[in-house]
Amino acid sequence: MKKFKSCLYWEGRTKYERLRFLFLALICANLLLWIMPESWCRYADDTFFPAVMLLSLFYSLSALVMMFYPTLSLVSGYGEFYRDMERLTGVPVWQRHAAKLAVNLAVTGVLFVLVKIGENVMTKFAGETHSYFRMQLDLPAPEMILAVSVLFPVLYIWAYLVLYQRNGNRHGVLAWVIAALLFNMFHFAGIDMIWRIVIRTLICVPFFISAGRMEKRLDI
Amino acid sequence: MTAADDILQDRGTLLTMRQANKWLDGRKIINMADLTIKKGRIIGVVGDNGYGKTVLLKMMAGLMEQDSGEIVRYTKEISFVLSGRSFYPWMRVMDALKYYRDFYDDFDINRAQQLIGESALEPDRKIRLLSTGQQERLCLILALARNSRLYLMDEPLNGIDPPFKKDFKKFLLANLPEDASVVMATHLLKELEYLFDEVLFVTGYGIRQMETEEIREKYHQSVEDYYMEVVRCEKV
Repeated sequence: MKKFKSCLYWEGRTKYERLRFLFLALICANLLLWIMPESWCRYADDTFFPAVMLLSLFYSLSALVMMFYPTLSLVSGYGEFYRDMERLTGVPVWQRHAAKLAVNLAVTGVLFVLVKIGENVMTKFAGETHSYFRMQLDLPAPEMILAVSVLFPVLYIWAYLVLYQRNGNRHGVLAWVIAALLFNMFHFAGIDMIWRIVIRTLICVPFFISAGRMEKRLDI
Repeated sequence: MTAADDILQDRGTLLTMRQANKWLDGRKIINMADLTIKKGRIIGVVGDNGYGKTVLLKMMAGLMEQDSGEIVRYTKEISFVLSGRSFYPWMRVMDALKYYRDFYDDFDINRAQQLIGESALEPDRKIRLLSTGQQERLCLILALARNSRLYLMDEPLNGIDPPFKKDFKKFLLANLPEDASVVMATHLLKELEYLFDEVLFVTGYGIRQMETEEIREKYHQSVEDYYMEVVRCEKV
């Protein structure tokens, strides 16, 4: 348990070091836009349109980071020199993966809140004929956060390792396609959100275990 | 572990390899390795580039698994000396100490801090901004601040400045726990051979384990000369 807590801490630290400037920029942008009167925002939209576009682009990119980073962060360490440092600790693979997923969940949750606030404050720039950054979700927010930070990454790392096991090459894009197909196979319409989450999580458990076993076996 | 392994453990054996093989990229890197690491020994690993010294050490550490054969570790207290690039890019010197403290119960952070101070390393400096020699020194300190029984070092003197190279032997022996063993891959046979009790010659044909005294007394050659003239020219 002590080592798992340490994994959580160092994984959290790693993600913080990588994303802190993004968090800071989002917080500053949100604060600034929140205190700006709406009349100033309309004026800026008329006069400084490129700046407002850049701001909208910034929020869009932040949303993309929120969607893609949790998945890619699971495999970004493969082949890096610091992998030896992680593996020498003797912490079981499944604990390391669980720590990464838990931190993913927290980071995605925070990013979602910040980006959502950004979406709200950007409405100040919206006119009668146009608007700026908006997030349109297919799933309710809690389900989306869990899917993006935990469920999809589990399927992705499983697909990634299966492909790596076959020929020793890294097929990130193909793994993404396979994971997306798998994820969309488990589509449960007409069921309460909580049951959808439970069922999808249970389905991902064997993929989680299988991915851990593969990683242990492969020198990756 | 078998009954025979229990006996070996009682006799101070830390690790054995029995006919271990390892393939990488379709090439057999480690070929039928048979070796024994006993306590209280300093063992050099010598071989040309690409013949598997690093792979051998990683297999001993458990970072790589053998494809066939057996590796039996009679102790869990194995300390592998990392390279300077083996840390997260954002890590500072103090972060590395805290990382070791969090994951290794036998890590003495106070001793590590003392050695850091003696080596004039700044705790708040980012590791990637240290010189190569400073990084190697940090890695050595991290490994030696653990109270382990087996230390594995892969060319620890790479990039080390000449003054520290000179003091390396003293530094190692002063900080090594009693009865601990060291397995060290190196090209610097001339400088280090008198440190070694044994040598593992790693060639394309296999691994030969020999006592350094045996080489000097029986063959009347230095270990380096023996390697260059005999081992490299024959099949093991």
